[in-house]
Amino acid sequence: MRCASVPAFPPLVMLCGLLSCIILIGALVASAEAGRMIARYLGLAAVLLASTSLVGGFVAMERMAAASSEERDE
Amino acid sequence: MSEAAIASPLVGLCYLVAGCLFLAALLRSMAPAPSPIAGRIGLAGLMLSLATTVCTLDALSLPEMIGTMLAGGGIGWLAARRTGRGGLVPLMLWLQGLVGLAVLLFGVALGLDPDAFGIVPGFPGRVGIAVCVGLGAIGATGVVVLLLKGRHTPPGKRLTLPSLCSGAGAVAGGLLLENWVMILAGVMAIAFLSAMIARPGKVAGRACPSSLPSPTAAGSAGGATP
Repeated sequence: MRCASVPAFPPLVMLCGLLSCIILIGALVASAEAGRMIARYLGLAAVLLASTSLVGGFVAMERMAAASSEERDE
Repeated sequence: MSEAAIASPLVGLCYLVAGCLFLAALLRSMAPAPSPIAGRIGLAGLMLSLATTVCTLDALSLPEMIGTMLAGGGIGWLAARRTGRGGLVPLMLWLQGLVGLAVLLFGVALGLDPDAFGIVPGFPGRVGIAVCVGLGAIGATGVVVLLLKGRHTPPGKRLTLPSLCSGAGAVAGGLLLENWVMILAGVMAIAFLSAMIARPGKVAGRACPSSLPSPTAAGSAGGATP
């Protein structure tokens, strides 16, 4: 990843990351405390979706920021 | 999560440090001259809060949960790396739709086994679950509708509206689980998002840099990165 060229992280995407993170925390607690197997697997599915969104959002934002930085340099 | 773990001052301190790191990163990224490392600081705060949560869980299925998180992270990383530059804004909308779907599944999981979470029937238990499921469904379907029909809506606004639903769903879930971290973080996200809605021009400009291709051209610009 081209971290050095990233000028800034837009705050909106950081807030989306925060939302993914808190849903991930809730899903982790739900899957850990669920007694029924189906509830546990639904919690794990929520963990999968929220972690996909968290990592994907941050990587996508770094690429967007790097792209805009490159175009500004040109 | 065990009661002793929640009450532990060390756990509270870790969450406090994580929150301060994220808030500092958010404020730095909103400054007129944003810091290049703001995103990294924010991500560090989020990772610290996640690590604290995982450490406080006394679950037998911990390897399962960590494996699921790694798998999800890998899918997100691959999706973001392999999408063309023009497809990044729609990809972020899809990812926000996944958050809505996660809220929906989380609410359904709570509804299927309310006794395990100490949720009482009636108000506020069942109502809270219904609110959580409803907001998750609105967030998930709203993204699809906005992607298909809302081409004239600014990208920042398209990202903000489903995020508000997910944030409110997270607050409802936090109230049900009596998890103050979820409640505080959800309220903070809703407050910042509402402030951003009040200034839509700034939101759109920040969410979609002007030098990037327009989201409407995503289909033609998509593809693997070199």
